[in-house]
Amino acid sequence: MPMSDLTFINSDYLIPVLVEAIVLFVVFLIKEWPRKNGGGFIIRILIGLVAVLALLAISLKLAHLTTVEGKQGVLLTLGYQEKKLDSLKKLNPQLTELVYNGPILQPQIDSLNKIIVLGNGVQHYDFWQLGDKNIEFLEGEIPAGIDKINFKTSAVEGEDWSVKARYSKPKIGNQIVLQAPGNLPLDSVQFDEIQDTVFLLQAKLKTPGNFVYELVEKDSTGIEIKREPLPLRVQPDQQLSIVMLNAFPTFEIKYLKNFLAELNHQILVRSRLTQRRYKYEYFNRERQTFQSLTAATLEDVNLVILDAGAWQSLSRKEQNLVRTAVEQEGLGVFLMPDENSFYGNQPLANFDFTRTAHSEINLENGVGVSTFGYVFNSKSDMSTTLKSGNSLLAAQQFLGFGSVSTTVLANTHELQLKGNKVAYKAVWSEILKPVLKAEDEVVFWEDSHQSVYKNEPYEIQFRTALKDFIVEDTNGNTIPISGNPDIEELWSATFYPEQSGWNQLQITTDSIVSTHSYYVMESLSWNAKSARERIIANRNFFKSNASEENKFYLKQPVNPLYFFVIFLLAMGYLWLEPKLASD
Amino acid sequence: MSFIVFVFFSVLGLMLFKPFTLPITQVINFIDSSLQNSEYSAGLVFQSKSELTSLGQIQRHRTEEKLAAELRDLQPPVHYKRFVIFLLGALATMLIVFTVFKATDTLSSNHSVKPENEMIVRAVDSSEGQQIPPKIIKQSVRVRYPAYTGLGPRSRESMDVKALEGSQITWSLQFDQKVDSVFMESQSAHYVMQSSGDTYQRSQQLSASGFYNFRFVDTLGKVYVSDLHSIETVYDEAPQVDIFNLDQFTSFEPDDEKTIRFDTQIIDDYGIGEAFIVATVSRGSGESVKFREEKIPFNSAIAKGTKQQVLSQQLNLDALNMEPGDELYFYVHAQDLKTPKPNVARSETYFTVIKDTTQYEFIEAGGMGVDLIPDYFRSQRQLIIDTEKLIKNKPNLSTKEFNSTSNELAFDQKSLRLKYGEFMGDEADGALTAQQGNPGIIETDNEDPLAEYSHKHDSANEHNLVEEEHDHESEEGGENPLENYVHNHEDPEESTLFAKSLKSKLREALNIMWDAELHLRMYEPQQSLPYQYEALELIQEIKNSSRIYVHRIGFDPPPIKEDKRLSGELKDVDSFIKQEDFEDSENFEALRKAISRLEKLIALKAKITPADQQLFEEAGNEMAVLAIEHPGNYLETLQQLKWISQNLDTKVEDLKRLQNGLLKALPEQEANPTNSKSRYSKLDALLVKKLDADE
Repeated sequence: MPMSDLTFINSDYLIPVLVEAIVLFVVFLIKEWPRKNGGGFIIRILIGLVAVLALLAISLKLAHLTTVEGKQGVLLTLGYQEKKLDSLKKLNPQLTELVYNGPILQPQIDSLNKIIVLGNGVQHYDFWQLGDKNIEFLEGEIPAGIDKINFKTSAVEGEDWSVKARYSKPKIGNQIVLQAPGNLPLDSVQFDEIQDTVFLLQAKLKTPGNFVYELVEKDSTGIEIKREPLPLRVQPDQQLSIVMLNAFPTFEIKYLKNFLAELNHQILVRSRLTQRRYKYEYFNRERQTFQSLTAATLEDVNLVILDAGAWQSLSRKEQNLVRTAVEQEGLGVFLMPDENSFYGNQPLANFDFTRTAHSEINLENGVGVSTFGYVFNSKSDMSTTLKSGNSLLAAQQFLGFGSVSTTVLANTHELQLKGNKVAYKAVWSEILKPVLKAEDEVVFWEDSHQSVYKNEPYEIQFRTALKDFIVEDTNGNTIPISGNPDIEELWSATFYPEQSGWNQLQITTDSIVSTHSYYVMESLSWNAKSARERIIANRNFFKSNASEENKFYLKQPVNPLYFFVIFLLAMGYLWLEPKLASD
Repeated sequence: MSFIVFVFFSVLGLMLFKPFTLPITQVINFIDSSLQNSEYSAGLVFQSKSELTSLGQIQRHRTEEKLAAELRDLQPPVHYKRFVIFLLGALATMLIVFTVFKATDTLSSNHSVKPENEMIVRAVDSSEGQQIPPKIIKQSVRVRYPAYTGLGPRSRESMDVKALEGSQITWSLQFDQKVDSVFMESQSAHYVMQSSGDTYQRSQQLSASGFYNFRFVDTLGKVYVSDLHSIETVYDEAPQVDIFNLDQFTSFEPDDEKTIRFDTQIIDDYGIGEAFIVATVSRGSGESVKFREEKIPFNSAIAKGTKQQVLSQQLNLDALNMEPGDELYFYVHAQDLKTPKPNVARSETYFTVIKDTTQYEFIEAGGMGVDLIPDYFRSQRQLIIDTEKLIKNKPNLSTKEFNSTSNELAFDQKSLRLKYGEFMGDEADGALTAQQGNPGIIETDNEDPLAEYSHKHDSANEHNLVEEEHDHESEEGGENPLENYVHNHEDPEESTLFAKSLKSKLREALNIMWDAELHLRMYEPQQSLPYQYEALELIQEIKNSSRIYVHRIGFDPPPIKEDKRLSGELKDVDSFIKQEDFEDSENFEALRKAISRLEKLIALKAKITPADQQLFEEAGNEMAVLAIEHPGNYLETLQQLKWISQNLDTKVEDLKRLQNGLLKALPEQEANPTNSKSRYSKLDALLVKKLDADE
């Protein structure tokens, strides 16, 4: 046994005990000093030293360090397989079994030098407890079911909403039905092979509110097997404020104007009749004298629709005003194209176009539309807003906070004349939507796409410039918040929701109240998905931790009897020696 | 069931008693007993002679003779009279019993309403349920159709009404116990039902589709609400009028018999009221056109109230005082009996015209400025066709006929040539005389036969200033060699509408026509054909180039300069302001809210508040608008809305079903561009600024 391995268990008392031992030895020396001329003085001194050292060893509890081999534990988490546990037990019969449900007991794992985690693993918020341990993660099997899902938790009424999911190990003949509230089936998919299947279900959102749509799994006879919630917040659509300026009347403008006006948006149209004479139209809004564009007129406007002539007829001041509004307020500008838009300078933007031979193109839904015979060139500072195949049909360019957009589509109003109103509306909604100025909210809730479960921590972030506000939950409990030290206006709160279903967070100050709805699921919802996510998180966590493996040492005390015997022998010698010498 | 039992027992009875098999012994006994002369020996007749003793044979013979004489008077022992009397008596008893039962109403039990027609009635306030709710023991809907339909009133137990517009509907309800008052609710309106004894009644004239339910208050003041029922209004359709056996356009020569005949079929769902012909005669043309309208009755009378009728009609145009050139257009007008305002229908319009021979104008090539097409001439194509026909028919024709036809064709060829010659500026060259001439006579030459005897004063070359042209061939020969190189305006041939190349082409065509005519005159149509074809080709070319010519001078205004365009006088041009609000009529606000509210009610298992009731009532009204077109589809959802708005206890499943129904009924929203929400912080602003600076 190397010396370096020796240590004391009561090493804390080392100094006082050492002092005492020296004092004891000195007393022994003084006692022996008169007999120094006698034979065996050196031996007696040495024996005395041995006795003192033996006492020292007893009192300090001499020990040696050993690495522990047999002290292993297994942490059983949700979804572990009995078989794996059995085979582990066969290898190591002294395996300590720990069951993971809720918090981990620290003392239990401290005694173990190695922990094997069986099953799906521990919750991500419990990782810290196992951070410095030697862990081996033997992952469990992901149960059959939907293990991956992607859907928007927040949408606007009238939108198409889709759920894309992957079903692992499906049963042939089973079907998944997307159900609206009230068990109204909307879309479904039936499995015809046992391979993992990715499917897409769609719905049209008809009405605003907080809803729970559901994915219902049914067997081939239509008997319900399982249902999983899809919480969805449907926002009511907003009334937009739109300004349309045109120098030349076209059917395109006219139909677009009617389309937007019929959707109950506020629209101000100024069409030039002749020099300095205009036709003003006010739809769904108050009449307002409008001589020239001012910062005030543009303040609440979401979108300005211009044709090239109208831009030119604006004064330099007005042009600058629009540019500033786009850059700083996030205003959207849509340039109504005409033949001349495709060469020469475009106002506010610089899109590149390529001439094509075709002036007719099929949209992705197969509807034919005419174009000006151009398509957009892809550019780094441009974002496509409508495309069909590889042809970019509408695009926007960002300018500060806002953006400028245009299209190559021509005479889309013919769609309406052909009776295809739906396609017309869909095309223009798609083109205009990305350009619209976003509504500036007092509090912007960052919806992390995590699923919220009952009695599990939920961390939510929000951005606000408010000071002195209180965040409360549905029951009026104040929730502690913490501001991000680096990023201004970013706040976060972590709390444990107690009630499943829809809950609300409220931000209150003296006046402003902002609310955020979140859905708390029952802990058994989406078990395949949560199992898969947990396994991946555990796998990643323990993989990154595996490198810093630290040895586990144990101080094994040396049996004090040995030292006692040495002490007794030493004492016996020292007791007998004068007697023998005197004889 | 009872029928099966009846059949079973009858079959059993028949098998046991066998009423239709008559054993012979029974017959013999009957004869023996009823006829004294048979001497109880009738049985012998049925035994074969060989089996009998000689005495037996004698007796048999005797009996046979006697029986033959007396058997005719023998009647079988069935008492028809008694049977008939018994039958009539039984029938009369049945009738008396039935009428007596019916009069005293003992036949109908207390629960007369058939289960499928039974209305579900719910108490509005379900808190105290000790009292037995009043029950409807008799319900009926009586539909009295409008008088004009001729349909008798109908009475039904089922409360879903489907009837003709204008019908009088009478609801009557009878309860098993006394109730305080009964209302009928329809589209958020309340109507008190009149009580007469223990029956409650209400009548209404049917005007539109809708829904209704009953609400009644019992003597303790408890309110009950019934199921919702639909009223579907059927509308009387306009008659359908068709005219057969007549072309849409007919025309008559002035000396034809000007009568048109046609059949008219009129179909109406509740009976035809009236039908007649409306004829309009137009006379004259252009600005001087005059119209005269006449109402002509059908020859055969219209049978009022019939559902289908076919009428044959003749129209004599002379009787309508029509003259050549007049036009008649007419249609059949039919109306049904609907009151107060009948439905009216009319057939398609038919046209008839009497041709006017005095004015026949045909204008072609209007773009050429001059109407150059002659009144009559065969085209080159027509000539070719006729020539080919002649060649084909040659074996069937006599030589004289053949020659004569060939000559006629030659004449036509000539007039065509002369006509084209006019284009060239050729003087008439007897073009019109050619027409006046008798084509039947073979012309040896086309010179004036009187030329030799007259002094020509009226010709273009009266004074012999120019050498007379006699032959077209010589004209070509004498052409000026310089002609191709000078532009000679004086030459009348040059001053035509045509370009030079065109002119030479036309000249060539005329020459070829000459050859064609020559061969025709020589009765050789076969050899004339190639020339005719050639001429046709040339004429075609000329026509095409003349079309190009017309196109070339089409008016193409020069573009107006942009800066000039908006620089006119503006003092009368004013700015124009228009303000319009679009009512979002099909928004179904309450329906949307109701769906969202239901979600909360289901999730929280909350109680329905008065505000909710209000909301559901509004939703119900909106739903009714949706449902009015298809009352059947949404009846259940509407019913549930009704109940939930009456604060009736509703289970979660019912709420879910209601939500399902509402979501299904709510029409899909149109695509609508919507903006997103965001929050830009100072940090974002800095980033954007930096990005812009980098660009």
